Amino acid sequence: MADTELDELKAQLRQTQKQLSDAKGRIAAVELHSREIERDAKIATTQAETLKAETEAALGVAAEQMKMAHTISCAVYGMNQLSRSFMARKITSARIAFRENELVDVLAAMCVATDKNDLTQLKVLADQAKNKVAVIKADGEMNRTKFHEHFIALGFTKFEETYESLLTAKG
Amino acid sequence: MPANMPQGPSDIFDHLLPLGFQAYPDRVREVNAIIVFKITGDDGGMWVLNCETSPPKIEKSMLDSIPEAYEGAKSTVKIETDSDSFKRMMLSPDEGMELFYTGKLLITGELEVISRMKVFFDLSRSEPGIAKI
Repeated sequence: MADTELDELKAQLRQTQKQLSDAKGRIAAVELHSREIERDAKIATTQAETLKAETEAALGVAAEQMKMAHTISCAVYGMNQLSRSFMARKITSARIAFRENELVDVLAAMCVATDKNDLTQLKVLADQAKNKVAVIKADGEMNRTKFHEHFIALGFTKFEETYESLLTAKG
Repeated sequence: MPANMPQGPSDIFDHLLPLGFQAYPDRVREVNAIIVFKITGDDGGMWVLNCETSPPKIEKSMLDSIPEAYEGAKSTVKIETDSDSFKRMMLSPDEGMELFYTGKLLITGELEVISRMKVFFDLSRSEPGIAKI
């Protein structure tokens, strides 16, 4: 082989070696880049999972808070409705007490009419008493204990039967 | 407020709700907690609903903080709002969420107590003569 050819082959060899070296360098660079991409992808995946978990937790908390606020609102509404009911009861009870006092007055007048033996007046008053009992019964229960106290205080023991008949009267 | 309704928080907590506590002590005790309502504005105040004792009771507190007697109670929840917001909740059970998200309804303490406060809503529905929603 001529020296020239040998030199040429050597030059080609060096060139090939250089290309090989360059290729190895590029492969190393690509591998490095690939590892970087892989690492970034893992970080991104972790971040996405964290974000997802945080979002779900935030949504869960928000839903829980909404539920709590709604329950409090329902409780306050319920307290108001309950209060309304007791307000109505107080009004009814006051009205019944007023009617009971009126009834006691009628019974007092019945006592006087009985003492005078005024049967006509007694009948008129008995009708009035029956009507007042009917009005009270439409609102609720009479305060029987209180009524008896009035009854006895006015000396009405002799009217026990009348009292019972008033309670069962239909007005 | 309509005339046939409680006019505000003091009407409810000072006069009417105590009657409900007297009428239904066992149901109220199901809440088994201390509920503090701190209401600012006209007709406001601070009320402690003690649903742990027998019988349960409502106390008005003149203090700005929870009375010492209730410090360290196992289940305490504090509800803070203003008088107008409270009245809105009195009229509609749907107001709470908006008030909460606009910062007009603050809740602190043992939050699991709140789910048991549903008792008050259930009680009102069992009361005779009250319109159901």
